Amino acid sequence: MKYKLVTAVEVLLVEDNPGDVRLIQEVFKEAKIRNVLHVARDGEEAMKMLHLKGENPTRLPDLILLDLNLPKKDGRDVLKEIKKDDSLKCIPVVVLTSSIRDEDLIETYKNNANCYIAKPVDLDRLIKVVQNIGEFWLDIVKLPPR
Amino acid sequence: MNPEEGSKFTGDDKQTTQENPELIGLDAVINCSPLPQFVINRDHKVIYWNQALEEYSQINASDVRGTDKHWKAFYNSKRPCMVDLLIDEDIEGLSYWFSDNCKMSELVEGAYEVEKFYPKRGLNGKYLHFTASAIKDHNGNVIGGLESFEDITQRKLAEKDLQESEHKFRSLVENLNVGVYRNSIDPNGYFIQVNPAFARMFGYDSTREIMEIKVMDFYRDPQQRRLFLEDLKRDGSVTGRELHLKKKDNQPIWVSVSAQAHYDANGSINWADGIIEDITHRKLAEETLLKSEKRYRSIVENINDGFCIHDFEGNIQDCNENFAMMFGSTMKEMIGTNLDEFSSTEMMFEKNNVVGKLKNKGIVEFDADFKQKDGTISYYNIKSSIVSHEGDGRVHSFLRDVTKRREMEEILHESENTAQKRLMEIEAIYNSAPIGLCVLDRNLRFVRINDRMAEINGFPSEEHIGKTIHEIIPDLAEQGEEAAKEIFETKKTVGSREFNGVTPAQPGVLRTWLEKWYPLKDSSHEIIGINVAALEITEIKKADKALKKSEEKLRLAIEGADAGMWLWDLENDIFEWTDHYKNIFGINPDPNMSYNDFLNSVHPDDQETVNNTTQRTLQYGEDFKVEMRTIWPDRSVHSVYSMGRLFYDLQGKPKEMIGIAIDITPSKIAEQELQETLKQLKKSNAELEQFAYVASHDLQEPLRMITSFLQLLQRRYEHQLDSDANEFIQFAVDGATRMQELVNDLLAYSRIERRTGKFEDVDTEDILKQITFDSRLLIEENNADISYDNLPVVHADYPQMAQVFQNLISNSIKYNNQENPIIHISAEKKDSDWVFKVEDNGIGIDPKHEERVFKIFQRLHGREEYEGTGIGLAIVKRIVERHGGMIWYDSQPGKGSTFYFNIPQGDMKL
Repeated sequence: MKYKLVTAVEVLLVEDNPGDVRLIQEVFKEAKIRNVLHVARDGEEAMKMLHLKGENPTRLPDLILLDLNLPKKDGRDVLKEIKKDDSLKCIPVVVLTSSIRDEDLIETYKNNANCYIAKPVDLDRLIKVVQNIGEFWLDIVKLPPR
Repeated sequence: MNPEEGSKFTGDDKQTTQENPELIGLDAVINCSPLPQFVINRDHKVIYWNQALEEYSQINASDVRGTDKHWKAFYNSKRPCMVDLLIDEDIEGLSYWFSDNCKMSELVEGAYEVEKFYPKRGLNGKYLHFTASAIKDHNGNVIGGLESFEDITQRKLAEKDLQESEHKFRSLVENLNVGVYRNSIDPNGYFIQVNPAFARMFGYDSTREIMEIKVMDFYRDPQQRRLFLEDLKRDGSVTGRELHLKKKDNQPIWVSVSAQAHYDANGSINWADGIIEDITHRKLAEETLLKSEKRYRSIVENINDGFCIHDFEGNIQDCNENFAMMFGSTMKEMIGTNLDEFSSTEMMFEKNNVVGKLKNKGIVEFDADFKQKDGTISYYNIKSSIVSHEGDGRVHSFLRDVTKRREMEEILHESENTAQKRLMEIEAIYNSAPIGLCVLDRNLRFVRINDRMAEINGFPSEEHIGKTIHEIIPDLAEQGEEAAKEIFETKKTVGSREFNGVTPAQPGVLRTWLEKWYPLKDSSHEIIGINVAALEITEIKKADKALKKSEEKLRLAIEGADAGMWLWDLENDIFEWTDHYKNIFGINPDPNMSYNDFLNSVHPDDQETVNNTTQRTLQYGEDFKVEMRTIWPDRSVHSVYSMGRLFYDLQGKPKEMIGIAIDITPSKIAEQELQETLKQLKKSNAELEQFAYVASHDLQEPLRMITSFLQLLQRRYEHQLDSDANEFIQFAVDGATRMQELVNDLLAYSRIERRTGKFEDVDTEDILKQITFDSRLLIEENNADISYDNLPVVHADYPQMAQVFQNLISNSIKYNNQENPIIHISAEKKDSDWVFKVEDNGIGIDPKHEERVFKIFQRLHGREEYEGTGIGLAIVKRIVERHGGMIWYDSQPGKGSTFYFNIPQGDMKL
């Protein structure tokens, strides 16, 4: 079953840098993935949106792209909260961050992020990454039913 | 008148009678007389010689008549007879010739008698009694003399006997103090009669004197007389009454009186007759006896022993209270019983052969056990001595309770056994002791010796006994004598003292012993011997000597090295320094400096540390190491490093501490400054790194934006823009990209030190494998050949090592014009380092660039020629230096380059 043919993927992007937000949007376009991109600018907003959406399970995102360095509530805490929340932990979380710190890498996996991707500097590479994410998580991987 | 003169008259009877008519009839009388007689005339001529005399003298009358040879009958040589002297009226002659035997006759006037003993006559001698007298006429003229004698031997003997018995009798009588008396029974009466003995008894001169004294006055106590008379009246007699009377001189006299009453016709008493005996002596003796008996008894009563008097059979005649108590009885009960009755062993006396021994030696001692009244048995030691053999015997015995003693003996026996065992154990220990032990007597002869000492001396133990130290160990004898002398004089232990010498055990080898000589005293503290303990220290001494030598060497070395040496004599608390002291403390040392003096010259803040260190050394023997400051007189502070060690004496007691002290002030300051600098450096380094990290990290973000959107722009609007626009955008993109690389490299460079990666065993061959795999595209594209050999496992940071090889290899590939870049990596072990080699056939390095090769961002070529930021080698250098190594290269332009770097494998602490 190909979600991208039937419905657009619901993606929650948690990113505070507007530039990066626009970039991701454009890249999704370039990657030709039909998506609905929801954006949360900080950790708090992210959780609020998730909980709201949670009231109607059908509205939860298919994928969460999470930056670590966020204002108000740090991305690391958001990750922990999501993965501890029974209603949210099944949603794949792809940590997309500019941090290259080993500690972040280790902690991210420890807190059960599904994967960790360092934001590539190069545009082409970024497009490739997003394509791959889309292919992998939305096509190859079977996501739990809502 | 000379008797030998011849006389006119010869022996003719008739003639004689004619001349001497008075003598007619006389001769018949004389002749018939049974007594030998003879008559001589005035001329000393024999006129008559009777028959009896003839018979007696065996001289015929006819032979002697008319001669003056009458002496022949009596004497062997001529001498006058008594009658001769009488005729001459020579009284003096009488006494001369007859000495005192002659006396005037009592019966006949003018006659003399003499009695003489003639031992030669008869069997046993004869007693002869001579009577001689002068015959006188009417006128009283001497006309002749008559002498006769009588053999009175028998009578004399009889008389002698009688005299003797009379003598005996007399003495008996005289010593018999029996007085006889008769007195009236009137209390105020007198003696009627007394005998001389009575008088004597009471010291009176005569019996008459006594008669004038009242009987009562003889009594000291009149009551006694009354009692006496009463008894006499009542009983008719009194026998053996003892009275205390007084003598004439008022001296007391004890008498024993027995009296008998005499009755008259009417039956009343007229008088009493009595005999009285002086018993004063007896009485006194009795009293004395009584006194001594009393005293004796009191002694006997007061001794702690039991005392009894018994016979040979053991029948008790008398005893003291203790004795009775010993048997739980009373004196009364005991007397009359037999000792054997109480003995738990039958026939005690026989068993111990008491009587036999008593009779033999007079005394005997033995132990016996006796049953008391209550049945308990006690042990006694009995000492008996004979008092009298007579009859059944009289024995004095002393009994001492030795029950306790017995018990003690048992215990003693037990403890003796134990002591014996202990003694044997001690003997064994003594014998097997590792030090030599021996005992010498006052003459320094071996009395006792243990195996070790015997071994030291070189003879078997037995051979020592009785021999002097001179005989056994002559070489050491003198020293031994000195020690012994000291002991005898001071009465104290001598030692420990070193004895040096040779013993027969090892002839010719000089050895040393540490010895202690102890005086052995008896119970009165007199020295009876010497106890010697000897420990061989020959080897120790040798070591000590060697030590002293090396000490000396050290001393010289230290002085040569300009350090001060100190020695702390622990026993006397004296701190000694070499002259270098001045360099440490700024003043000259006090020769009598004590430890405290030294401590006080240390900086006050450091004194505690120094003292603690010292104490630790003294207590635990730790090496002494301490840094301290000293304050010189000029107030300057100097730093001193002191090192020392504790040394012990031969007996393991701390003896001294020796060490060196070096002034480290200049270097200290420099070090301090260095430390400061280092600290600063580290700080600024850290800050720098932090800055670099933050900068590069934070720069990433905007750069990414620039790059990404520029690229997006390119992508989206390339076709809608003219070539200029595209070119402009391209330049912008390039710039941004380059900046990106720079920032990345910077970031990487800054992260080298910040890495928290640990060092581990890294297989460098593994790294090469990885790199050649990861970079296979690059390698393929450039047609490069990468080979490696002999790559070791080193202790390093894996990713960083990988970075090193990565950078070097990529440089080798990059800076290569060859068709076929060849790169070879190898390693070699040098000392404790691994030296790696990366060789290539690249373009080489121009020497003029030497300074810049490893510097950060220093590129030796333009961007157009070779890309890169110029950080590669800087990173490599940094990493290698982080591992404690160095990097260098060998290169010539156009001839390739070989880069070397070493990784030390020692214990690296960063």
